[in-house]
Amino acid sequence: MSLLSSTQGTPDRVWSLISALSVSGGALDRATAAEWLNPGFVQNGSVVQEKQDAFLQTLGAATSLGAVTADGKTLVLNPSLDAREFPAFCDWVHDRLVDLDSGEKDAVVLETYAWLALQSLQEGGLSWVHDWTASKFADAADGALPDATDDDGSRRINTSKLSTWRRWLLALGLLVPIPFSAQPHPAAESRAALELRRANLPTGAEIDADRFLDELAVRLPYLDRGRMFTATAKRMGHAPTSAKVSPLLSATLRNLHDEGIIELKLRGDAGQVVRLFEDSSHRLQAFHGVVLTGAFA
Amino acid sequence: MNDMPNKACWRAEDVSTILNNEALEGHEGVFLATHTPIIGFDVLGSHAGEIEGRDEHAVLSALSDPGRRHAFCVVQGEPGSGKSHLIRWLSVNWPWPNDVKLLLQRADGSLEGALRQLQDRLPPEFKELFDNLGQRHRATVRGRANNFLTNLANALDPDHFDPPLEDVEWCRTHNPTDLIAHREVRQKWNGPSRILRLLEGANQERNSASASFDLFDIEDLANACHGVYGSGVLPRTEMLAQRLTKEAQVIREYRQNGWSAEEIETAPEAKAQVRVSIELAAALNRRRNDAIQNVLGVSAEGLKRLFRQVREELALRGQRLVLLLEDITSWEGVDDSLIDVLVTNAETRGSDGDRDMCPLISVVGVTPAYYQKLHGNYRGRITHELRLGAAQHDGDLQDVATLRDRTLRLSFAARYLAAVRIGAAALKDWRERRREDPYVEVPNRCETCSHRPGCHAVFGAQSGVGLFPFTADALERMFSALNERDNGMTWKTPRGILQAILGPNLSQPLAIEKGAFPTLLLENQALSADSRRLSRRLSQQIDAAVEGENERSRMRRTLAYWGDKERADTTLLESGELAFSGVPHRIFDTFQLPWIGDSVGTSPTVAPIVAPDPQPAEPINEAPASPAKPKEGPRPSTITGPAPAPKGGNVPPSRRRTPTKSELERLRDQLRKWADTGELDEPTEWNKTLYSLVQAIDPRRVGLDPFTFRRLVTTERVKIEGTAPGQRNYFSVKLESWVINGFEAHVALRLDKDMSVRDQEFHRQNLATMMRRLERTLSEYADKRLSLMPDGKRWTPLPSLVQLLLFRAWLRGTVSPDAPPPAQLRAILSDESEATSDPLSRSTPWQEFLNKTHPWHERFRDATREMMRAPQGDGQGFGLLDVSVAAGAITRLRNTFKFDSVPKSDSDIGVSELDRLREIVADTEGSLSRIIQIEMAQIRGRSDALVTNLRGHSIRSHLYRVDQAVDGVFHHLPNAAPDLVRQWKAQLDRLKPRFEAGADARVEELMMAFADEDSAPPKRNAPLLGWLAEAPARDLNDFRSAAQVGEDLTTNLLEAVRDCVREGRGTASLDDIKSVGHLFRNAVQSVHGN
Repeated sequence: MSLLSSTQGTPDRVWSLISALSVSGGALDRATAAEWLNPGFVQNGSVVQEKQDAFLQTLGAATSLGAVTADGKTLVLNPSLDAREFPAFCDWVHDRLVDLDSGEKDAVVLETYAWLALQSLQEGGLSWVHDWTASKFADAADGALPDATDDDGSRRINTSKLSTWRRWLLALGLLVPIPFSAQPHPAAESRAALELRRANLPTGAEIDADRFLDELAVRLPYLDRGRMFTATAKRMGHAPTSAKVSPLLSATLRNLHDEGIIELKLRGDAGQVVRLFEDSSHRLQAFHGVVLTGAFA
Repeated sequence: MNDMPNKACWRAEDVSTILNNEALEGHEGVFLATHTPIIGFDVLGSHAGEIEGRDEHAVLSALSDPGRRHAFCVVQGEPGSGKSHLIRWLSVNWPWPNDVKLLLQRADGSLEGALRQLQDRLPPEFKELFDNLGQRHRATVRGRANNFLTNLANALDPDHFDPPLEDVEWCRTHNPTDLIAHREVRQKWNGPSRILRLLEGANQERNSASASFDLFDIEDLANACHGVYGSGVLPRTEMLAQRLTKEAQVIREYRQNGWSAEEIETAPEAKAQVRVSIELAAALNRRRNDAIQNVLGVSAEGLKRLFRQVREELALRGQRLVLLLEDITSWEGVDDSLIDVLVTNAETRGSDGDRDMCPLISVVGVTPAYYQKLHGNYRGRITHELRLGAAQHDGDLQDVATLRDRTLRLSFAARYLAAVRIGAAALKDWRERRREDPYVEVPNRCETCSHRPGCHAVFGAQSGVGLFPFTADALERMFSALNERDNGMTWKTPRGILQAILGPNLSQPLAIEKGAFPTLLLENQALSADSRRLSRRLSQQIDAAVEGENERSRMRRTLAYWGDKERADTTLLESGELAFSGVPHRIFDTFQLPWIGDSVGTSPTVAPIVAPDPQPAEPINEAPASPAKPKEGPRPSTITGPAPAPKGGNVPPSRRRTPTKSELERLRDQLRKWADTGELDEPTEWNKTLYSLVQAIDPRRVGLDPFTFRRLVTTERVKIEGTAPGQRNYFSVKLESWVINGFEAHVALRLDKDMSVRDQEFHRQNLATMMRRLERTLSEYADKRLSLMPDGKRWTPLPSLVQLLLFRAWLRGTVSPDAPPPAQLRAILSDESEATSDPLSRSTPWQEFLNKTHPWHERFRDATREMMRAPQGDGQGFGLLDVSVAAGAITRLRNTFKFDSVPKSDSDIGVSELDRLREIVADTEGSLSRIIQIEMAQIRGRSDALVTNLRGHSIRSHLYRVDQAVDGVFHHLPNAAPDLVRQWKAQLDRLKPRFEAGADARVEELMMAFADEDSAPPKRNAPLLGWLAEAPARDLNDFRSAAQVGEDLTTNLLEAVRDCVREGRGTASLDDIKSVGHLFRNAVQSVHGN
């Protein structure tokens, strides 16, 4: 099963399974693991228990991520996984997804996000995410992905997988739920702040804009200049200029700047600058350098 | 040639002359050039049918009819609504020179001024009549006020008037005379001075204000009467003072929430709370004229006599008297006497000699407030009543019928613009030419202006008159912005347009060529401050693009009124010109403002503006269409009623709401006001909004479980900073940009359904930012409420709950500590069934723990379930179990037999379950092993005791041997220890079924475990507790107890036998005694084993 075809394998359920394995020394037989997550209990005289399929899909998601492997009837926790806290698990998942080659089934999660970032450039913003129907969104995203099918034989992204996709992106800090909208809003600030903290970039010193964006593109390959972003653009026949940042990344950088996590610098005499996507309500329209303040969120 | 104006086409002095035109003489040109037909008013009165039409000509025709002998026509309208203008127009156009027509203008608003005008305008032969009107006192303002107050106090005496006034009994009951006449009241109460000042014209700023005592005067009186108590006044006067003081608190609260005195007096829920104050104000007003006439030196009788003499003289001459009084409030003090004169119809009052008087046609301007207080007797004698506007609901101010139509509003402004451009002198010439040729047009400078094509194209024109420097939309927006409720008056009147719109914008013509237009004068009090508070996007765009505060505020004014303050998009006009926020590029150029729009149009053209007409109803709480769009069908609603009245004065009244706005528009205005001034109206509503936003956060994103989130984040706890006392247990956000932006997005996305894509983008981005920042705030709040542990991480309640419930389950024998984790989870989450560990036979600490947790375990379990459920998405089912926290907690408890630490905090969390949890865990810290040790010691002790008593026999065998011995002794000595025997028998009977159930064997097995190394109890806590929980504690205790009773009984019986033997000596043979003695001894010794 792929991550997105395991629709009942939500991030918190996968995390629950991993925690059970972790406290059990890293391995459990499948039946016991299922009982951990679905022990059944009596409430008001009735037994409360979920159908078995929920566990199977949770296991499917965990194995698809490589967090858990099945050795016969024994489930084994990936030893590289930091199972102490949920945020660390999310970082691990992010790293895992970032490292996937395009041909791997779960690469669709971040490749679809890369398409979204690119589409924001074409649409001139992100409002369309809320306005498009699910089928229009899924069709367009699928059209931008490499030709392949999912484990279940269906498209790698379709309307039934969108909810799962959004759940994982929410967990990864790439979407934010907002009122009055069925869709969470694309916002990469949380993830970007985390990755900047993890990146080996100096704080307090000005970094050249291009170097900063290149480093960010390594850690967030689905945004401008990133591997997935570039590949998606190529497939779609677009050639985004490196001198102008997509609306998604522009909003991310401006917000990080406003929140004091980074400081975007623009000197009057700066020669080569990187232009942010136009937002006339903000003072910053371009920058030539970046200072990481060290005040990571 | 530049086809746009680059400077003003008028002069400042003409603005002053033409807009502030009060006097008619010498200015008829201005008056006629700027006259806008007054139409659409309502006509009532006993002779309403005589006016055939709803325009000024119909009124003139009816009133001036040669056959008319009497008319008392009242023109009712708010101050500035055009009453005076209509009356002047009637004067200018009155067709019969033979009539003696007296136009008495408002002038300085004083009674003295009014009388002076009358004196000046009457034919010279009548002037001496004024000598009998009275003599003004030579006193200072203070002296006159004191006289006024003294007169009032005297007039409030129940025996003052003959015949008495209608409120004589009220005065008798409350004795207000002593209160008003009190020395301290005289010194401190400002009410009489205020009335006197109004009657004297209030320095020409009276503006038709009625010189009547109102509730604010009574509030002031209440504040001045503290010295009344204990000063020797009658008890009922003291009670009156007390009552007024209490009611003054209510009045103050309403006043502070923006209510006018009149609104308080008329709103049912408000007036019910200030009944005595209203009655006192009415009593004072009822006596005002009598009290003031002497002070002002005017005799009411003298005034009546004057008019009688004038009318008699005119009757002799065959003339009619036409009295045109612009404003009756100028006559307050003698107004009742004056109205007596005006209603006197010479035709119908012949019996008392009135027939000798000339016909009197009077037209009087009154405000609705004055009309409301006009005595019914007078109202009934109004022949023609012209209502220039209408109020939508009781308590509302009236609108102006003439201004209901956009075209008429624009025409009104255009006439003044044309007049200002042509100038007062040229208009005077025009007036003279018009006397010759009544059809000569008012001159229009636009006709010869070289800028006309461009100017009219960009700024617009009305009937050929350019609207520069306004546009039609700008005028409409400014009109719409006029304050409809400013201390009881409305600015949405012709006078409001002149004073608040045209005047401020035209009075500094040089500002245009100097690049200073629109000036700060536009930000006047008459235009609601809300009207110039821009959307956040627009505001931020100005901040980002315009340098210098002066230029920024000029830009803000321009965009607020010439543009659409809700839009920050560049659009392409039909003319091909770019517009930003609806303001054409060339207006930026003309005003010398920097262009801050894009270089290309990106959005559709903005719809034209029509000021919302303040009439029909639109429900609140419903998002209307974009405010930029013309509204069709029913007009917006007026929110008339104040909020529910405070009960007992504890709950302050809600702020008087501005009518005609939807709930969301109101919220948006409040938000911008908050950002602008730091003052937040209706904080309760905003706290609710904040709460709803916080509720949208997924608690797991900030490391909270759903239960803790639900209990920490309650409506009572979520506050905007400054709306509640700063406390640790409040979730609080400050007035920061992201908060304002997020709130505005929250309102705008519901309110504005037609916003541009960029606006949507802006708002959604801001909402997303707010949600992220709220997450961080929530996380910090949770840290504070739950406390941080020594490792700097927030305390998480779930592990403690899991451990506590689990340990309880272990002690109850529900599950063994050695059972697999899923079984532990089941025990934690399942409802409790009967305990299997014989809790009542356990050691004290064991029982204490169970007793301590007994009242709470169900609530703890419910909380735990809520914390651990992992449904799919927002599903309502329980779903799988989130064991991410519980798994570790179970393992740690099993391994350490210690509860996880809880924070040591002096303050409560404020969630009862969590506070109790923390308390129980803290109490039992380190004691879990101790519970086991004590229990182990108790079991072992009981086992040892039983072993000792059994003396090597089995339990069953021992107890039956005892019983046999007891029976044997009892047979011979039935009186030996009878109570103990009964106790023994009963205990043994209870134990017999246990034998059947094999209980004795289980207890013997337990005893063996202590004796045998191979089957000894486990050493480690977890298996040991499991072993202990399964131990037959109750059976052990019962058998031990029975064995002990048997021990005690046989000891007693042996003693009895010995006594028997001792007593038998000398009464039986020695052999017999020895035989019985042996028998008993054997029986008992068989029990004791020796």
